[in-house]
Amino acid sequence: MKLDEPVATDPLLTVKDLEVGFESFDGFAEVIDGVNLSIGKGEVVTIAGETGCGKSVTMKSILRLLNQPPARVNGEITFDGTELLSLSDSEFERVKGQRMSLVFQDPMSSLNPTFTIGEQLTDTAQFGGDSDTGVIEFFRRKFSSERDEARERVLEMLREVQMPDPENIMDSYPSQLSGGMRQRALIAQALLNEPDLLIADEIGTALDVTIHDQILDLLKDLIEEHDLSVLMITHNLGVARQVSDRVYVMYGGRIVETAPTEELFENPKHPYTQGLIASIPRLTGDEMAEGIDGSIPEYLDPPRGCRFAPRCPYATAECEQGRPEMYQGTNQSGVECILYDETVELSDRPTVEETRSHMTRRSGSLMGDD
Amino acid sequence: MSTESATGFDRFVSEERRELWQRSWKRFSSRPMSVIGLGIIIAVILLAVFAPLVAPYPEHAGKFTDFSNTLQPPSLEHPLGTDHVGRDVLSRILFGYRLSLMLVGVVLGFGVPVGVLLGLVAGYYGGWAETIIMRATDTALALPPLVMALAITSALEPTLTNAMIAIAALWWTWHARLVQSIVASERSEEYVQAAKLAGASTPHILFREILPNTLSPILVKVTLDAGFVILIGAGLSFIGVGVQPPQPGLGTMVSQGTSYLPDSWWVSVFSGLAIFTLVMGFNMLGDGLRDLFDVEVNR
Amino acid sequence: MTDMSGSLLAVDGLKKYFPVKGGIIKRTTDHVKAVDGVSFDIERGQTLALIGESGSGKSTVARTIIGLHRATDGTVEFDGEDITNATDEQLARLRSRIQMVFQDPTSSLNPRRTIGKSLAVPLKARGVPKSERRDRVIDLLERVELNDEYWNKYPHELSGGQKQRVNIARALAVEPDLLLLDEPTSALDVSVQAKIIALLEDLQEEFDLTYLFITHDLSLVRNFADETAVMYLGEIQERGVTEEVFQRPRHPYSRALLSAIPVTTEEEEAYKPRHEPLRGEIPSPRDVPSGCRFHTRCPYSTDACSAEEPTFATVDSGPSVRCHIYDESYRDEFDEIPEVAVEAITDGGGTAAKHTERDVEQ
Repeated sequence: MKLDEPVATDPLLTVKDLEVGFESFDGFAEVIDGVNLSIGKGEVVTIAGETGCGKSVTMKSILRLLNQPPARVNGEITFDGTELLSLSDSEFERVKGQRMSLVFQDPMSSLNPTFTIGEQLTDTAQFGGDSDTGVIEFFRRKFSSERDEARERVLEMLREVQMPDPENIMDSYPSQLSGGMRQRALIAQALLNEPDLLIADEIGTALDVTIHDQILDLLKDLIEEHDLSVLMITHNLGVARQVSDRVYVMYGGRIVETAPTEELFENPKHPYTQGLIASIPRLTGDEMAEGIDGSIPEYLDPPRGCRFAPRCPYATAECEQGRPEMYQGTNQSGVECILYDETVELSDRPTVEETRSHMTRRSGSLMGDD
Repeated sequence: MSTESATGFDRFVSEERRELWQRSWKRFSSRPMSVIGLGIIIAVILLAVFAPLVAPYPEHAGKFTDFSNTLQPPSLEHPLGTDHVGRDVLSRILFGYRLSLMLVGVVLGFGVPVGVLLGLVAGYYGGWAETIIMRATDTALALPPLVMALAITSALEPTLTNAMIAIAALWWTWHARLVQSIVASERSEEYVQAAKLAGASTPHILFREILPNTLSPILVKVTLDAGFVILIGAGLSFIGVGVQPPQPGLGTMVSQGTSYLPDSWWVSVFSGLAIFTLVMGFNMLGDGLRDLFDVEVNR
Repeated sequence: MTDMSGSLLAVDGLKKYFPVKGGIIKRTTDHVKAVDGVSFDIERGQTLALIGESGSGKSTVARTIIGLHRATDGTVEFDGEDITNATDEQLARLRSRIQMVFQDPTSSLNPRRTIGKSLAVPLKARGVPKSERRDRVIDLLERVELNDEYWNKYPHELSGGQKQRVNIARALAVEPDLLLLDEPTSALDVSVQAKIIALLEDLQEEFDLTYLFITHDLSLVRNFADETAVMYLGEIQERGVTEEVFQRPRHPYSRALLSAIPVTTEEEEAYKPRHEPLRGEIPSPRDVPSGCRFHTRCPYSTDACSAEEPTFATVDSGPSVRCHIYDESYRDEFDEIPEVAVEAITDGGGTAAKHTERDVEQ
């Protein structure tokens, strides 16, 4: 049933048939249900979706940040030819430390409050990806001239992320920095070991609009300069549009649609993507849809067919029977919705306008939705 | 609304409640330690309550002597042996539990409400109320309960009642401190402000809104405290300022038994084990509850 | 009810300074100027949006109006009555006329009380007899499109959007005239946010409510608010009819805020002012910059901006702006000014003459 996801040419990271479930007191929750995605070399890819869609779980399973148990991860994750899930922890740590970096959402909790920015970043520069250095080697490196070189590199990187007054920042503790500066420090830390893949989890979302704007500008410059491949996780479609080359839209633990950014925003296909885009308030004052009825699927007992079917204005009996195929379009796009089967007339496929009008009609029912 | 829909509601209520309880029990029971702890406590309480019925020799709990039968080792007749005046150790332990549980009941029954009330007031109002109550608490906390109890009982009269008063007079401080720290952070929560804006009275906010949010840590603390109070009681009895002979205090029995060690080991060892079991029971339950509610209790 | 034409809420020169205690004996050593001279009024049935980033003091304004903070200076008038630092008796009366919805739907509901109990609190305070409360609570739930099953649920069983509906229902329980909405949707997903906004619009129409809508998200405001005020570091920098503020943002800060929004369509991209990223960070309200508070980050700032504080003045009989660019006496100080300012300066006078191509959309 599962077709191959539209694959990036020359992929750096591919995720195939990823399934993640969690044991809980109430039973087994099947959260990620067959996710396929790929990131080409030099490509910036975003996973976009709302709370509970599974975007963070996907990211965490790629980076092995889930505790197993209660989590159960199945599938194939290939990074530059290496299958990651079968690696031992130390082998994985080596690959991760040398070639991948993660920038977390919350800049405060991902910096250690008891060490200065300089100490933390210099350690990363010196030991990143070398988890089993040994005590003697650790002290040798820490007090050798290598330390000074590493410090220089950190300073250089702080300048590159446009940290104001980097010399002083090196001797500051995280709590003395503003949110924007902490975010810059984290980005610097992530880039220190020249990773091939940068994973950015809701970067800057906690910051103010104008600061967020600065961080996004910076990120775009850095991506270009360092020729990074990036996996972004965000709930903000505007951010996805601004930064990425290609977008995956997730809903209910599945990828429901993917397309190059421009195509996705100009011509969204999946009813969920359409509803989501129609729900975003417009600066131009165009009418905004009144949101999507219903709530996200219960992962303990998800809908059998299309997981969006219970909330979809176009759902038919067929939608509830089985999971729809990923219908592929041209140039790396695809949509998991039966309305895009060849047999369906072009005129029967929904447009954003139609979806918006479906969602603007007051339902009047007391669904207790959201 | 008609009565019919009202009964419909009530049915709904009980289902929801039952589900909540079932879930809680499921989580609680997934930790064997806490279930064992709860089992021990229930068993001890039942044994203590029905001691006159289940004890093989209920009359041995008091001023009974049988010098033909002193210091008998455990046998079928006396499963835990007899003491230096020929009384059945098992029977005395069962009655001893009564005294221990009574001590717990009185100390916590007085200390917890008083401490919670003072903690609520200090935490909610802050300012002078907080300064006065919390400085008094700090002072009282600086005095070790055992030493204080020792001082009070020896100054007055070394009886169980005085020991209880002494411990209870200090015990509220622990709860005042715990509750004050929780309330001080809860009072700035938005739900408290929302209740205020909705026009709720101060007693309503204190007892209906904030108090329920302090109950989990209080319950955990009460459970852990119970074990601690029993140990203090036993300690006082051991040094002779708590339960007075011939009453069957567990600490008293350990102390009396020491004179006949190591030959007649059963008196001290079994009454010691009795204390140990009950205290362990409370601690295991307390740990289980703490995990269940996921709270931090400062002790 | 007093006259229907006048403003329901009038805030004049409102200040709220929080003392900073320092030293061993906890003396007041400094002040955080959270709100520093804010004035606006809202007419009955209208919506004023108060926009700002963290530290702008927007929430403090609302909390001071409703008596959760004491005002340092200035006055708050509600329906013709001076309610600045209201007495307890006044507050009790006001609370059935002014209500507030908080930002975080989770923390504003007591986790240990059922929805029904939380909603009964305002009814009890108003003296609704116990026998009627349940029916009234169910009415309230229906008003926010939740059914009676929610009566006996605990907050943790509800989604964020449902919780926010309950919070709105609680605020409506006293049948208020004025609702202070403190970022009511910022913790929610967009598809849920859209539903809450639609609900608020319906309720406003149904009950003739007046809203003070506090948010950091400009795009939400466009269709929702009649007037918009942009706050920065405790002061309103620009205030005017929403249309006007969006179509021709005058203050450099309003322009920067608008241009910083990550939008999703080309039309919006074209609609935004030229992208003018701001320098540096938002200063602390403890240490407010001299002169114009925005000068440290303003792309247009000159020496005059750091030296003298601009006045809050009406530009082209339209919005009021706190910026030297629009003051004739400072005209020569600036090398470069935004295009709206060029228009304003070249043919000062009526606004009708200067409609740009953007206005055609309307």
